[in-house]
This record gives sequence, C-alpha cells and structure tokens, in this order.
Amino acid sequence: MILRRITMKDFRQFRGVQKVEFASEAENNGKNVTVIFGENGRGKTGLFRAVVFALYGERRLSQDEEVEQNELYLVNSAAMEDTKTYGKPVETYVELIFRHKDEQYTIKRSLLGLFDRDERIEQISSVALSHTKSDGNTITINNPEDVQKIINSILDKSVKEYFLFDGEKIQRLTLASIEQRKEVAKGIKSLLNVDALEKAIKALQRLRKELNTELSKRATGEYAKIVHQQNQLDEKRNSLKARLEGIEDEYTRLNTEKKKIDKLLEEYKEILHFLKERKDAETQLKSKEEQAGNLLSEMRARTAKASQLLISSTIDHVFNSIDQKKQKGEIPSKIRKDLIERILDIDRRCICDRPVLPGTPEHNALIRWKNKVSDVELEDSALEIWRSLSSIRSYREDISGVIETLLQRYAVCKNDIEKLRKKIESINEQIGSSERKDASDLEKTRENIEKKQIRIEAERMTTKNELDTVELEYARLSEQRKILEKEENLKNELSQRASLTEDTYKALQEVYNGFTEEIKSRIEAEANKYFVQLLDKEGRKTLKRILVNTDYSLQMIDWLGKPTLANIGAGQRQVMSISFIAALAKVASMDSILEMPLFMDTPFGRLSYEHRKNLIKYLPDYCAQWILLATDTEFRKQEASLLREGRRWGKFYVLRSEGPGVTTIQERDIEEAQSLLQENMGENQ
Amino acid sequence: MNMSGDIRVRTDKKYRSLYNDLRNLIVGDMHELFFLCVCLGYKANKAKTLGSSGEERFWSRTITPEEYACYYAMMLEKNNMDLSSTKDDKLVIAEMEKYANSGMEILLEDFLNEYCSADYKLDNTYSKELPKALLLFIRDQL
Repeated sequence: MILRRITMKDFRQFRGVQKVEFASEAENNGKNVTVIFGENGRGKTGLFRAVVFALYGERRLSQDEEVEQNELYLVNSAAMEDTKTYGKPVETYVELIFRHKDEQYTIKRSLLGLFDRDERIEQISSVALSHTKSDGNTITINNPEDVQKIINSILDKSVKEYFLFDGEKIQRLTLASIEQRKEVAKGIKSLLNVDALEKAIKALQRLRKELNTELSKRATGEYAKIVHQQNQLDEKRNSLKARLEGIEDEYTRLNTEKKKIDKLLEEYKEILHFLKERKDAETQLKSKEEQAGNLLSEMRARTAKASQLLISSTIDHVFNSIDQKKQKGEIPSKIRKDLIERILDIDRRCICDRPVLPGTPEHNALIRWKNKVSDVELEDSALEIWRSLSSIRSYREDISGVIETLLQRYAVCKNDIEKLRKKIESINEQIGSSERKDASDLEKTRENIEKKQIRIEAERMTTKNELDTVELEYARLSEQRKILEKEENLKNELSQRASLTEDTYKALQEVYNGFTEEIKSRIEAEANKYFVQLLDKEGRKTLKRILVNTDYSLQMIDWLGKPTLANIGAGQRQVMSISFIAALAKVASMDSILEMPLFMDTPFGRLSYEHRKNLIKYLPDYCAQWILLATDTEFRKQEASLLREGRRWGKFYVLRSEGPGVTTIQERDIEEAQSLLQENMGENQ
Repeated sequence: MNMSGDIRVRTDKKYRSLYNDLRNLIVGDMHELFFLCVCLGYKANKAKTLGSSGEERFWSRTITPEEYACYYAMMLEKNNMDLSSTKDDKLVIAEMEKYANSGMEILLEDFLNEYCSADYKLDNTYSKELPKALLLFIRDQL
C-alpha cells in the first residue's frame, strides 16, 4: 500500500475540503518522504485519525483510551455550529487514494453530524471502495464488511499500528500484553502469508481424526489398541488446547478489567489520600462500635447484681440480725428443740433422771428454752442466708465501682464514635459524588485480579506441560504404530491413508515450524541491523541486541547477555520498535521493500538528536513511503537540512490555524522549510 | 434455704410482651428482670396482688442462689426476722410476685415510659442503649 492522496471535508479541524498529496517513489522521482508540519493543536493527529478512519472506520485511536466516547467528535465543530440554527446535518468525509500491487484503490467514508436538541450526534453514513484493476476496469464495493475484508487483506487491522502509528505510543509495541501479542502474531502471520499454511495444517488434523476414528472401528488387536489410544490422546490434546484458549481469554478479560480499574484509579488519584483516611476512620469506627457493643453487653450482664444495690439496707439489716443471733448463740441453738420437746412431752424426766412435771419450776424453765430455740432446718437456712448475704455484701463495693467504670468508658467510647462519624462526613463532603466515594474498593479488586492472574499463569504452565506430554506420547504411539504396520504387513487402504495423512501432517508441521523459526530469525537479524544503525553511541555501549520471541514480542539483551527491556528509556524503545517494523517490512516483502507506508505522528519527541539524525538518514531507505507528522519542537532547521541532504524528501505541508478549531493545509516548497522552521537549541552536537 | 425449683413464677399477663422484649435486651433472662422488679417494688414498699391477671412466666429453678437469698432477706425483714417466714418457698415467691408487680409499674412509670408505648411495646429505635440507661436509672434510685 502506497498512499497517494487524502481529501477531507469538514473533518476534525479541517474546515471545508482540504487535501494532501503524498510523495511516493514512483511519482516523485524516487522521493518518498512527506513532512506535514504543525504546532501542537493544529491537527496533525487529526490527519492521522483521518487515515485510520478512512481505512478501518475507527473513530478512536489507541491514544483515546482516556477520552470519553461522547467527548470525541470527528465532524468539524465550526461547521456544526454554523448549521445548528437550520437543524441540518453536516456531512463530513475522508477519501483516501492508495496504490497496492500496481492497482489503485479509492476508499471514501462519510459521517453525518447533527444536533438532537443540544446533544451532538455523529453517525457513520456510508463507505465506498473503488478498485481499479491493472486492466483498467473499476469495481465499487459498498458493503462495509466486504470493504473491510479487502482492506484487511492489504493491511491487516491487527498490524496497522506497525505502519500507522503515533510516536508516543510506538514504544508500546515493546510492552505488548498477552492479548496484544496474540493479535499481533496473528496479523504478522497474515502479513507473511503463514496463515495459509496454518489452514492446511488444520485441515490435515481434521482428516487425520476422521481416518483414525474409522480405523479404530475396523482394526483389531494391538494395532486397534494403539489407534484407540491415539484417538483418545487426540481428544485430550484438543481439550487441552481449548482449555489453554479459555485460560488466555480469561487472562485477557482480567487484563481488560484491570485496565478499567487503573483508569478509574488514575481518575481518583487526587482523592486517594482522602479514601485512605476515610478507610482508617471507618476501621476505627467499626472497632469503637464493637467496643461500645461489648460495653453494653457487660452492662446487661450486671443488671441483676446492680439490682441488689436497691435493697442494700435490707441485706445489711437481715445480715446483721442473723449475725447478732449467731453472736448470742441463738443460732445455732446450744440445746436442740427436739430434745426439750422429748423431755417435756414424752419422757417427762430430765437427762439426769429427775422428774419434770407440768407446773414445776423445772418444767416452766424448759418451756422458756423451747420458745427461744428454732427448728434445726430453719436455723440451717438462716445460716445459709447469712453466708449468701455476707458474700453479696463483700462484692457490693466492687459492683458499684464496675458500674461507674462501665458508664464512664461507654461515654468516652460514644464520644469517640461521634467524632469519627463527623470526620467521615467531612471527608465525604470533600470527596464529592457517591461514585467517587466507592472508589476505595478498587485497589482491593485490582489486587484480587492480580492474584487471579498469577493462578491463571500457573494453570497455563501446567496445561502447556500436559499438552507437551500428550504430544510426546502421541509421537511415541505413532512410531509404535508404524512398526506394527510393518511387522504385521498392514496394508489396507485405510491404514495407508491414515499413515500418509499423519506423515503429511508432520511434514507440514515441520515446514511450518521451520518457516516461522526462519522468519523469526530473519526478522531478528534484520531488526538488529537496523537497530545498530539507528541507535546512538551511548546506546551501542550498553545494548547488545534485540531478541524476537516466538510470539513476536520483543526483548532487549544488554552487553552482559541479560534481558534489560525493563531498564531502557522511551527513546530507545522507540528505536527498537522502529527497527522491528522495518525488519518486518523487509522480511514480508521477501528482501525488497514492503509496499507499505510508515505513517508516523510526532515520532521524535522522546528521541535524542543522534537518534533523530539516524532515523532521518536511514528510514527513507527502509520503507517504501514515509509520512512524517512533526511539531515545531521536534522538526527544526537541523532536521530539515538533514532530510534534504538525503534527497528523498518530496512533499512539505504546513498546518495553519485560521481561528478556533479551524486549520488549513498549505503545501510549501521544501526550500522554504529553512525559513519557516526554528533553530535547534544546542542539542545537535 | 430450700430454693425450690419447681414453682411457676407468675407475672401480670399485660407485661407478657414486655418480659419477652426486655429479656436479652436489658437482662440475660426472665428471672433477672423479675428480680429487678422485686427490688424496685420492695424498695418502694409497694406490693400489688396479681389475682386473676397473673400468668406463669418462668420456672423458679432459674432463680440464682443470690436472688433467692435476697428474697429470703426481704421476707425476714418484712416478718421481723421470723425464720419460719422463709420456710415455704411458695409463699416466699407469691410475696415476691406482688413486689415484682409493683416494681414493673415503677419501672414503666419512671424508666421505660420513654421507650415504651401505651400497650407496653418497646420502641426498637432506642432500645440498643437500654442497658446503659437502666444502670443510670438504678444509680439514681440509690
């Protein structure tokens, strides 16, 4: 794909109809570099957005993650305001003309912007792709799905960010997550045409299964056993693969959830200290409330004992009365009442055998004794009461003290509770909305997600190991099966077909593995060549080489041979990503230059001058077309001069502001660049 | 001290829900609430016969030895230390029921009136702090 021209009508800042013709080797005498220059806010990203919108219909770029859907408009705001009063919709469109494999494509995507009361609405209205073939015939496709299929076959959506990228985000390629790597690997395979091979392997897998099922029905003895075991292993392999996919999907889902939380946490950063303070206060409040509850329980447990205080005087009075009787010897009586009664009523003789007859002084004396003494049972009871009352009296003081202490502690506790409640109320007022108030649980949810991800990682490892074991066992059985076929001279048509399928499958798998390994090695080798050229002197001292993993994720190896990706700076990451992209383009095009543009939005921001110099020097040769959207701070006289020296610079555009939200695109002569650009401030040496 | 356990202790039936509600709220069990009411009634020297309005509330076996000792002490004091007044637990309990009946009236009038409706239903809004309020009330009575 080589971009020829983009035309925009009322798109973002670009009011009215405006266009850019891109420089290409074929049409500009080998000059393939286009520079679109503009200060920040002039619409460079708008232009980048227009290309992505035209090709894929995407309204959002990866950099829009933090922008709300309803805050992102593609239709020019000034045009919208102008038509607001008439209630007419504004039609905006982007038309992109590009060439691919010597055939021309024109894609035009339209959008309608309108106001529904005061709410601004944008609707995608149509897409049309015209394809002019080499024989001169043109076909037009309007079905959005068909259009997308064709565009994806030219530049797969999953790898578009390798060719159309925002400078700030390019370094993200080195930080790709599992799900991104999966998508990218898929896109790269499609770019390298490896997917056709994959499809053939899958078809053979299916055929092998069918033949083996049939064979297991017909075969006998040891051979049947092996075929049966292989079928079982095949099933197991499929289920393990499905499980692995499930694990990866779950991982992806958790990652998305984590990202959402991170976004929210970022949003709530300013109130995090309030949330922490409130959490502490809430913990304290809970503990104080528990303490108050315990104190109330203790009070309740003491109600009965406290009630005794109400009858203290009675307790004292009775205790003292019994005590006095005890002191006097009345309780227990020295003479038992039943003995006196026996002398008086039955024996009528004293224990000294002297007669005791009614009316005698002895008899009267004994009657007096009898009236003084009580029943043994009652006396025992009185003594028990005395002991119990004594015990009650002994802890009375303690009870009063405990009650006072409980009441005081409760009052202090209540006071603390009140203070904490006021504090929480005040924090809530400072935090604001109820949604923000709930943000405190986010950290915990995030932690749980991370724990879950660790578990999933472990499960993934186990499943992978299990899968390896199954593969090994399957291979062993295949060998055994072959030997048996030979020994038993099994030459029926079905077994021969199954055997042939198995061999073809293996051969194709080997070809695939060999090819992808070779491709990977070549990408790695090419990436390292570019990297050495682009890297500044300082970087060359510490960084040794780029390592491309089997899933096309990247790693950086330092001079000690250790992975160091986590330690390198953003600029070096950018250089590393660009080297990889250039290598990918080269390998995909079979060692010539891949017909693909490198469309870079402000790529120099994080690069050192030496890196910039190297990029300007080498990049025009690495790619078929380079479109550079640059700001005044990254593209100055020095950079322009270097680019001109390279003789590949074909087109120069300047974005000019014509009032709020309105930008025009003006083509300028390259020679004018020097007078338009700023001086570099002492960073070029 | 016989401390009979097989007597059914009675209270006025109109206080049925109150006894149920206040159990676990301000006291651990029925006998404790009964004891509190007895003490209040005795202290105020008020004893109101239950008559036909009485209904069995709890078994005397739940009464603690200390409570029993206090009941005997009240009986002794009331009967000029006549030890025989403590001989029959049924009589002792019957006497205590009268004090408890009056004691509940005092409790309702001087304490529970803020927390209770006319039909002796507790207002749960304020009931949480009742144990504290009750201790303060008892302290004020001393």
